[in-house]
Amino acid sequence: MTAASPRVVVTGVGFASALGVGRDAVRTGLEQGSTCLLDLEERLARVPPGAGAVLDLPRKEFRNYFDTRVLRLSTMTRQTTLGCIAAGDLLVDAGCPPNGTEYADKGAYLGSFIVPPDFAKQVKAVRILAHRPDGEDTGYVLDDARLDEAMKMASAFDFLRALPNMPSAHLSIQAGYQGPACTYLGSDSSGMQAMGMAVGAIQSGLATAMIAGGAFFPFQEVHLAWQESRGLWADAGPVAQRVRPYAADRTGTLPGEGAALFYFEEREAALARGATILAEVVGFGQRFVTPGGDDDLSVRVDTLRAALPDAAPDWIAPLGLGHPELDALEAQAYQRAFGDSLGQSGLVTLVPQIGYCGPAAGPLNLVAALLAAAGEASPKRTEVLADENCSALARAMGQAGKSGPGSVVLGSSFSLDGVHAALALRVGG
Amino acid sequence: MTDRILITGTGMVTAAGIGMDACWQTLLRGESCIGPLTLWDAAGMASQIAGQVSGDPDVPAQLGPYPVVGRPMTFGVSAALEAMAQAGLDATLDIPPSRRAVVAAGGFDDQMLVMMARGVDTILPSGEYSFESVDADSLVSAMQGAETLREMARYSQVQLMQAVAHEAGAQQALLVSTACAGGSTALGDAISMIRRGEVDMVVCVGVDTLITREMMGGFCNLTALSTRNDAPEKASRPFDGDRDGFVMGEGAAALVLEREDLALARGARPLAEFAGFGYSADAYRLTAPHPEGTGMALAMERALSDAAMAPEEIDNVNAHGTSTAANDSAETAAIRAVFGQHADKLCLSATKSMIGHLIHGAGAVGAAVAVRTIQEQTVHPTANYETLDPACDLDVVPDGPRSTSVDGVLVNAFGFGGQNASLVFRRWSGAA
Repeated sequence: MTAASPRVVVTGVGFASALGVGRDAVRTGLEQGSTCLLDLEERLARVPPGAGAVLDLPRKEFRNYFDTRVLRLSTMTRQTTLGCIAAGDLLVDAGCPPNGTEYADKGAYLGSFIVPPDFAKQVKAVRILAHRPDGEDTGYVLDDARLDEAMKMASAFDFLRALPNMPSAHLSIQAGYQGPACTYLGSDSSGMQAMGMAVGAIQSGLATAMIAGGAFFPFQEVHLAWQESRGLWADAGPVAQRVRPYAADRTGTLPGEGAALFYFEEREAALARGATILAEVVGFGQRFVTPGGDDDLSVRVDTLRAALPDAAPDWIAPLGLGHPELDALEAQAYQRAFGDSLGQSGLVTLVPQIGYCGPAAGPLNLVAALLAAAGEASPKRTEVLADENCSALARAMGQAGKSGPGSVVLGSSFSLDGVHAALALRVGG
Repeated sequence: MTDRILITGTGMVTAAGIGMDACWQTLLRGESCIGPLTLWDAAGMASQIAGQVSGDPDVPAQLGPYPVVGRPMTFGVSAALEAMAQAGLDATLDIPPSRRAVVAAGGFDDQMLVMMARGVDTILPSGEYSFESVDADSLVSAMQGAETLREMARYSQVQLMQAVAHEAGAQQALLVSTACAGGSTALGDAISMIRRGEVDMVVCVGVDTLITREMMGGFCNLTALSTRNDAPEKASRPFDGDRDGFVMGEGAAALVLEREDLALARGARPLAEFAGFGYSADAYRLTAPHPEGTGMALAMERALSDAAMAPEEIDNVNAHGTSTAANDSAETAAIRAVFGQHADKLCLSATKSMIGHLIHGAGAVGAAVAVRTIQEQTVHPTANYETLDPACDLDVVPDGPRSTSVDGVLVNAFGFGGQNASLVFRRWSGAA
């Protein structure tokens, strides 16, 4: 962040996860420490891990959040819907609910991940089109003679709504925002990347305000199986205690759906409209490294230090997946970046409560940590029997950091794909 | 430190050829590269034509741990390596990895479909289309042994981003999606990152290979594709009165961007200055651009403003020019709104008339063509501009290449869902 750049502040947060929608859901969830992880039913029970956390919100209630313009939320993909629900919550929180007006100077960046929306339909199309000819052991072919039949499985709208850019495109249309709009993809850090790029967009003068964060829906069979093949899912213990970040006996994580968005705004513009400033952006860092290399750890450290070069965080929001190797790398990175000063930090991760929400996980954790740092919520104390590699973060899970104006919060996302991102905020502004 | 950003390398793979030189020579001839779709049997499709890449780019089988497999990755890697070679970007360059980035857009392969089918067939009995009736134990064991799921990931755009980042020694990597504006968004994000001081050099890649059954079928369902199957070479006709839809293309383009002072210090050859960019969203409809092109105009105005250039300083517009009824008339209206009387002095290039629409790759192709246009001081012609449409009455350079003074080029790319990006390139005038 260059010295001449305009100061960027946060004037609203939007939240949708299995805990519920809005700040109250976050506060209650943090204070009670209750988990929403459950055994899944019917078809999803058949796919590993067979458990996860789902937002229980009837379709008829979607319109309470964001159903104001030309599109109905019920026609979108689930991840776009979650993004729009969080955005509706966000815009009310920021004091600028949509009113049919178009805004040339506001934009939307959303991190997401391509998960085909209707797998049953897709499977049907795929199985019609691609098959193994009789008598052949290995070769699968795409049978063009079946093309017509296969394509009848998908309507034009099915196709259009599933395009990867649609989460941010929908959001722009819904909000009437004519500024920059982009969907960031490619890793579970894309939600944090979207936030950093949104801050950059304001600093570059592309917009005076940006909605940014992540939205994610994992409950599709192939996606769950793919993550299973990458060793992500936990397999030991009762569901409610199965995700144990930094614990010595951790075995992995569980999936969740959700979205979290921030309303970033030029500080002067926020002051001019009398907005309540929740926090100011301190810094952003993003890095890539080929996973498994010698510099795997040092690049993670560099990511954290790029976001917060000159201070120690009062609160941290790492992912806290509960994954054996990823948690160890995460803990070592924080320890190496901030050393003994971590001893004063509080830690917030919602993953044991709402599951791992992919590109939305970093933003969801950061919303919760920001509310804790602002003194709006007191996370329930958690005792963790940690292994040696995770002791610094395990200790932080059991304590509160400094809260109130001036408190510094650092959120991060380290992805399996080697894309890492971190964003630092200072409470007040 | 200078604010100027230079382009020091370009690379391209399209139906017009493999490599920037081959593509440019084909474009100069105004030669349509649209033909019958032969990658698979499209007899059941409403549109049976495409701009296919002929031949196989010569690329390594592996970049670090990343296998170079499938059409999007092969084309993307080929374009990126060409651009990086021209820029002299390699691991020995004295730019720290944390100051290098890759920003990519697009890229799926229908091999993913085959693999999904193979994976699904290991799980589902013949004739079953849902998991409801499958025995849970066999489902779990099939999933856990699903090597195909890991294989599928190798064909994704994520692997392209990772592989190019690995090869470029870059420690920052972004993957953007704004549909047909993706390549331009990648370039806009890249220049922003350099200007904000986050990096010094960026390799941008825009790629798509959507001549696949799923995507062709989807776009046919949307009635967005030309059905001029009996005359493929005449099918892509941007701004022409008889246009009936776009033609799917495939390929990739890549550009290397870097700070002027650092580029000159290391002896890199400036190809052009990347002067500015502008983003906008229509905030209108999912399925169509605003009929008056208001979002398009906003992107162009913002790009000119960002470049601190007057409309009169633009000589050539590399148009989005898809050959659809809605886009071309809206784009014409937007250009007229932005450029006023100067619109009649501009010449337009519609590269898609010859190679089809590369979707996420389109903006990057437009940018690389713009850079070459400035270098050669020549505007390539637009094929098939034969019948005047009063709603598309700009100078689209119909008859062969035009040698002319080109100091400024504006590149348009407009995506489904109303996501727009315009870029401005300028002849490099020597060190600031």
